Amino acid sequence: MSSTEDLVRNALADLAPVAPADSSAYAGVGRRITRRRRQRAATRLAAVAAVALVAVAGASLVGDRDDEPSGFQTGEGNTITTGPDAGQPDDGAPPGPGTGQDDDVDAADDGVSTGPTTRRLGTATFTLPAGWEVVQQDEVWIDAAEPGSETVPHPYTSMCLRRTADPGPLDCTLEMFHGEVPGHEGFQAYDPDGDWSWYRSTDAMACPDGADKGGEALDTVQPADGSMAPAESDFRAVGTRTAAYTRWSAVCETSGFRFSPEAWFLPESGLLIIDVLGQPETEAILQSFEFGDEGG
Amino acid sequence: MAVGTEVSDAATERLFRSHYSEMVGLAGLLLNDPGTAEEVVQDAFARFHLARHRIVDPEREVAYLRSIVCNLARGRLRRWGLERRKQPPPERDVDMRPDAAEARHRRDVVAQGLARLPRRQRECVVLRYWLDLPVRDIAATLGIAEGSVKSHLHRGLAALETGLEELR
Repeated sequence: MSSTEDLVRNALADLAPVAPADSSAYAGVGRRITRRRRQRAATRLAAVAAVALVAVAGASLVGDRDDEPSGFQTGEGNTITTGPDAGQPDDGAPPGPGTGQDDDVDAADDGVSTGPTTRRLGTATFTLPAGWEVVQQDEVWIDAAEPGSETVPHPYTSMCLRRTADPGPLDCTLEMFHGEVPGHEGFQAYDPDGDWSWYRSTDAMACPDGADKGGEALDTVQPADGSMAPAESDFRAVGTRTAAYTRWSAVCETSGFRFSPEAWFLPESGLLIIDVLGQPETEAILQSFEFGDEGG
Repeated sequence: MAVGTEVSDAATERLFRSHYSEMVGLAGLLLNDPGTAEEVVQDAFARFHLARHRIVDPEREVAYLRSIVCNLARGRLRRWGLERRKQPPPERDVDMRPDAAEARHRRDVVAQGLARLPRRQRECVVLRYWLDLPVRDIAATLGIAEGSVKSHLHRGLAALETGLEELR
């Protein structure tokens, strides 16, 4: 009598599809590489174009603060605000505390704030702490549809915030998204209860422990304790609104460095804020949010 | 094999030759869909090729590729939803001999049992009994603890055993 293990082993061998590593399959790999390269190039091009357009818009608004905030409309009320890479002229010192920030929404700056400044994302505004900068703001479109099915583009805006003096090991100290915000690996819509919804890379993520790995092998980030499910789900305040709060657990495979990515999601406002390593300024930023006319 | 203009890396081609069929088998068992398995594996090789510069240790290339396949298969299953995964496996050429019928029935029982397993158990069972990976390598592939792998394997095998008992 065969053991269960043998039966399963034999059955799997029979069930597993067989596909030769032939030239047709290899050509399929080549096509996918081409497509992914084009997607990357298109995304970069869109970002450059957005920055260039913002620069033009910003230049036309010099000295006219009562006009529209410096940025441009992308439809659906989705305003792209000015980033430091836009080359926008400095039309005055950034506002200090108590200077009436609402009058200075998206005021031109040189990127790094010496005092708190108000920034816009969608129809919401928030206070960027002193010493922080918005280093990148992209309009991103992701085709999340399956091949052969109806195309479902997911437009969203991403904003990369950095603490200038001590940004930490990640490219963005804090990330914000507006629109149809992406979820796990960027394929599907964000799900606050989903497995590792904070993780949008489709490849392995390098350990964000800040250690210089030099030529060592990639120390990849893995789910801590074997689970990608949320470690905590709750409701937390973002400004005057209530967000779906989720915390996950992650660990670096080699170093054992553990961290807890957190996310605040406002589905009606289409806002998502992600703090991967837990920044001391995050709570103040969250509480500074003010919302426009949309529901939340 | 003709090397496409987009895939000029010798290491990627070598890995493709040696592991493509194995990865299609892995994806097919995880997805219960041979056609999609090839799509997923070709996509995995493309991603691997574009990210190869980040892999310093060549001995980990296969493990890295295997992880990409598992991740992509997982993503597909999420998008499909559970129902599609529970569909019966596609019929193959049928051998009508009595002993072949028994093997076919056993295969179907395992396939149905596999489709009902929770995701992690299914992944662990396939990696262990299809690829014959040791627990340590399964843990590395899925990014979970070795103890968790053992637990998933034990539960997964117990669930499959229930269906197979009637065949003995």
